[in-house]
Amino acid sequence: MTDVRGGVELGPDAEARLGGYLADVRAAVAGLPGVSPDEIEADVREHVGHELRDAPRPVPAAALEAVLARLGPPAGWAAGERPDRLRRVGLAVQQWARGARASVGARLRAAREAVWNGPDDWRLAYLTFGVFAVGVLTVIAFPVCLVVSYLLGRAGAAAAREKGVELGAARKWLLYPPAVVVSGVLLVAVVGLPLAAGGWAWDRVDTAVHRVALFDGPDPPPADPRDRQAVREWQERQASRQALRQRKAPQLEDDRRLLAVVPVDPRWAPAAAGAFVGVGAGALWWGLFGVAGGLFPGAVRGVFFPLAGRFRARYGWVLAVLCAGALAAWGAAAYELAGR
Amino acid sequence: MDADLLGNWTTQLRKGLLELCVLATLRGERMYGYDLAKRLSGVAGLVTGEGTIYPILSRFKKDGLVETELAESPDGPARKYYRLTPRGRALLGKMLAAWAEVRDGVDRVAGEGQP
Repeated sequence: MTDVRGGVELGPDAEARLGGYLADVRAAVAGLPGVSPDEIEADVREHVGHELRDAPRPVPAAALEAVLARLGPPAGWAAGERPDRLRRVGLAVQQWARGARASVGARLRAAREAVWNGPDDWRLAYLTFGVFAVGVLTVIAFPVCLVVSYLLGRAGAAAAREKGVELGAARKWLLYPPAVVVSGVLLVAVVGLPLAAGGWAWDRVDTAVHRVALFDGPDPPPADPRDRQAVREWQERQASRQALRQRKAPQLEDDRRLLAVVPVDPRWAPAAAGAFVGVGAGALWWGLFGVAGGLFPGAVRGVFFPLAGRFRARYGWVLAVLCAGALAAWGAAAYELAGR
Repeated sequence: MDADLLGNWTTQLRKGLLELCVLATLRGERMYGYDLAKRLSGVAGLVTGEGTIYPILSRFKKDGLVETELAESPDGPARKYYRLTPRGRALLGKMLAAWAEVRDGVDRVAGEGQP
């Protein structure tokens, strides 16, 4: 049994009849200038689903037949229309090819019909999962298989959408894995980007803390002045520190100024600096992301498909406003720290 | 022979008028494709089958005369609604004016032949 748009279950006979009718629809409108067979098929599915919403389940062929009779024979829909020149050539070639194929055996024709008339959205779903599974199993081919299966999955979802077919759980399991992997990685990368700025600040302050501790920290002389070796090592260390201090003087001055800005114990300074810079970078980055999402919600849904399927422009604007508030508070705090 | 001529003439006549009626029906409000098909199929002699309007809608959409939007439905999946674009609205005005001119002219000519 199958579903037309609207979740109407068709009996086997009705399903076959509808498939044949839709094939007639596609054949009738193929080549007409300016029309989309996919869109017309989706409209017809929606129309049939609406008409049969109160019919018994599964819908018998007789009930469907009445609906199709009211829709009329598809061959009549194109009456008075004339295919454009390019299409006329295409149709002539198709007609010739059809005649040539007629000479091939019935079994071959049946096989070809089965392949060509099969629903694209299902074939793409199986292909998507197959290619993705090959990548997982072979490991080495995973990157290539991931890209290919991702594109196939997006094509499968688009084909279903154009037909007006709502993806059921089974098809989602086949189509979504590569899309979830790709979108998940992208989402983590986008969301986690400000963490890199926080990490950089952590590392910079941590280096400064260690350098300042090394040169400014106490290094008392040996407790026993008669221990000549210890005294000599201390003197060498002092000479080395002095030389290094002179050489690194500008750097040390920068480090001291940096640490003076961080108003916490030096032990906690790297973490505090990393968190502070991370929050600022996050507010700025996610604010920009929010504005982009507010302006182009469709792009967000497309890039992070299917994870962001419910994303709406207002979510982006809410995020942007929240981040703008956080950024303002962060800026005030930064201004105050810079003045210390 | 006459039947063929009449059939061809009727087909051509219906085609143009149905396009005009599709645009005119969408003039006031957006409309679900199904409702549009039902409404126009109720006009005697205008359509031979309810499905006839779907290729027209598809072509109008491609030509930028109508646009579609999906809207949630309480009865099931989201529905596709059609609405006129500014370009479609402008064309409809011109088509209605042309139709009125032709209709009046035809009425006049047909009236002259009457005894």
